[in-house]
Amino acid sequence: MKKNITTLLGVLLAGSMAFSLAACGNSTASNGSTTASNTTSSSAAASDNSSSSDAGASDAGAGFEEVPVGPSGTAEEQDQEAGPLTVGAVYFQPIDMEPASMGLKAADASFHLEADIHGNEQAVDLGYGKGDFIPDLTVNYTIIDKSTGKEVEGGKATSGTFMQMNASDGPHYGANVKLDKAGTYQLKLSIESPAAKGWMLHVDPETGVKGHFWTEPIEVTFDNWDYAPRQW
Amino acid sequence: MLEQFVTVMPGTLAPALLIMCLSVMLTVGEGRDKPISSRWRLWGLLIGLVAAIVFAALRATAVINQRTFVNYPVLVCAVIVDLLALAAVLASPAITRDWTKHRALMHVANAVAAVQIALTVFYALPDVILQLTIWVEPDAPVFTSDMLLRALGFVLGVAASIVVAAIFRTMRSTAVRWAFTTAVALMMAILFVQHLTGLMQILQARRMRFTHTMFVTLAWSINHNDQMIMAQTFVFLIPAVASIVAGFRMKTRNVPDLNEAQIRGNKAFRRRAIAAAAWSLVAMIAVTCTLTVGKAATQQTITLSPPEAYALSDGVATIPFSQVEDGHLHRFEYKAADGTVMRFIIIKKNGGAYGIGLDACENCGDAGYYEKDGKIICKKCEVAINLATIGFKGGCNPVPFPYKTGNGQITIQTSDLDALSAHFR
Repeated sequence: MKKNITTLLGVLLAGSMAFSLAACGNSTASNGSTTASNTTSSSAAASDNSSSSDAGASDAGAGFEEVPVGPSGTAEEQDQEAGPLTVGAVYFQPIDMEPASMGLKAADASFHLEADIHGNEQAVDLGYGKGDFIPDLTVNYTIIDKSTGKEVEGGKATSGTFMQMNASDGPHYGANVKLDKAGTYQLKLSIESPAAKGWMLHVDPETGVKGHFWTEPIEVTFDNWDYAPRQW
Repeated sequence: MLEQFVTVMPGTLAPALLIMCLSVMLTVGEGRDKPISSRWRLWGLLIGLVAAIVFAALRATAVINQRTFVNYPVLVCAVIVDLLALAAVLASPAITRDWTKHRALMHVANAVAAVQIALTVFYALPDVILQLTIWVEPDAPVFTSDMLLRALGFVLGVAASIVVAAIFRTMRSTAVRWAFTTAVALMMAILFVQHLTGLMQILQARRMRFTHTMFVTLAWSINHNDQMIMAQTFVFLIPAVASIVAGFRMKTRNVPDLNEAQIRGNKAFRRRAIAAAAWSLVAMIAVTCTLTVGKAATQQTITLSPPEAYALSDGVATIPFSQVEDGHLHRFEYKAADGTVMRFIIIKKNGGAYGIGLDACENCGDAGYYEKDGKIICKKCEVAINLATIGFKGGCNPVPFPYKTGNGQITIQTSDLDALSAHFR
């Protein structure tokens, strides 16, 4: 009898440990595959914007865990076409960056909010390749609490201007944000053209581009963002 | 230090209470007359503790880059085991009475309790442990006086949880059993809701499509976690009241059937019962204060210091060095030509140069800066600005503008300020 019970307990404990260890094994495997997945996403970004960078990164097996900004159950980044831009928004673990004084420290933040902005077919007329990262945009962001219709209160850096930065999966616009309250939000992006930072265009017949930079900011909204704070 | 305390104490309270509750409900026998499973709960705690430390270390060093992978299966197991353990607690009077006659049941109850303790500790602790490591920035030294204070807050937080659980434990012999069992069952029911919320959080962020009502319910549960922690302590009001009632019912005088020794025993019980209840009440208030006043103190709203006076004539603002050379932040106000009220700041840097810029940055607008512990901090994003970079463009640095220094004073052309008034709209 005693032996049976000991066996039963052993099975129970071994089962729970196996569960945990199996999970650890998965994450280690995922870690191992990080480089591969990131390489893929970088090259994808460079060649074809239709495959959003790290799409499905929330899936098991990918590197760090990116969550798309959108309604519950959104498994992949919801890219939006806006003028010459393809705009996606994801968030993931808070990140320490350098130089340190450019935004919230990871320890003070809830997540790192990222806008992936690449050129689409129209961007070719501005001299960019389709799928190219567009540098020197001014990307202003605001997180709006849908329950009040106003900018979220009680957080930190819940609105401002994204900085441009490089991660292992390539360049993007982003910022660390402190937002502890779960709820349904709306992320509004207002994107000013590179001309605002003095970016120029060739206009002569031989080397010039066909298009002109947009003059009014491009507005992109990611609506019904069901956000719940996470353990990263 | 306070920040670590108000995070660590609530984070470790549930495991501490659970360990105490299961120990009270399932401990039987004395000396050799104990079931072989009596130590399993301790093993559960040790396994959970070691696994949590290893997991936190792997996460902190980025060997594991997603906690969800581990937390997901752990939480699935935890919600199932929570229900089994709750059933074991409710059945504990029957299980522990004459336990020698049904040893198997006793062993199963202890096994379930051990697994629940291991899973609860394993899920709760990494969050707490990582509180220490997230403050260490890449390439920054670990052993600093700030880290020492943080570690102290951490240790005090863990100690406070253990003390609270130990205080509640004193009511195990003074309150009637059903009162203590009810409190334990309610505490564990709340723990189940917390674990279920954690599980739903993971599912919501992954693939599971939630209806709006489901998400609103989940959000409510997440946003009321502090209240749930407080409720986990306030359920012990039931045995506290029962303890006081039992204490006052204990007759200590005019009892002809009792001898002196028995009366002294009754007096001691009354004292113990009332003290246990009173200290439990103090513990509940302490937890409530930590989660309300303590947390609020870490999230204080900052009021900007008032602007100082300066000379303004013929489109030139003049500020003498003597007014701003103390190394502290000085704020000034200016009404632009378009009517916008603007602010600018001046601070003397370490090298003797002056850091001058708008009281606004490109990231956070006109939120303003304040001085704390010798650092200049943005009121909105709480970034500590590197003094050396004040005067340079970008990020959360004060928006720079032209100025001149000489003849013991700083001169600013108001037209330069007028051109930047858009930052204050």
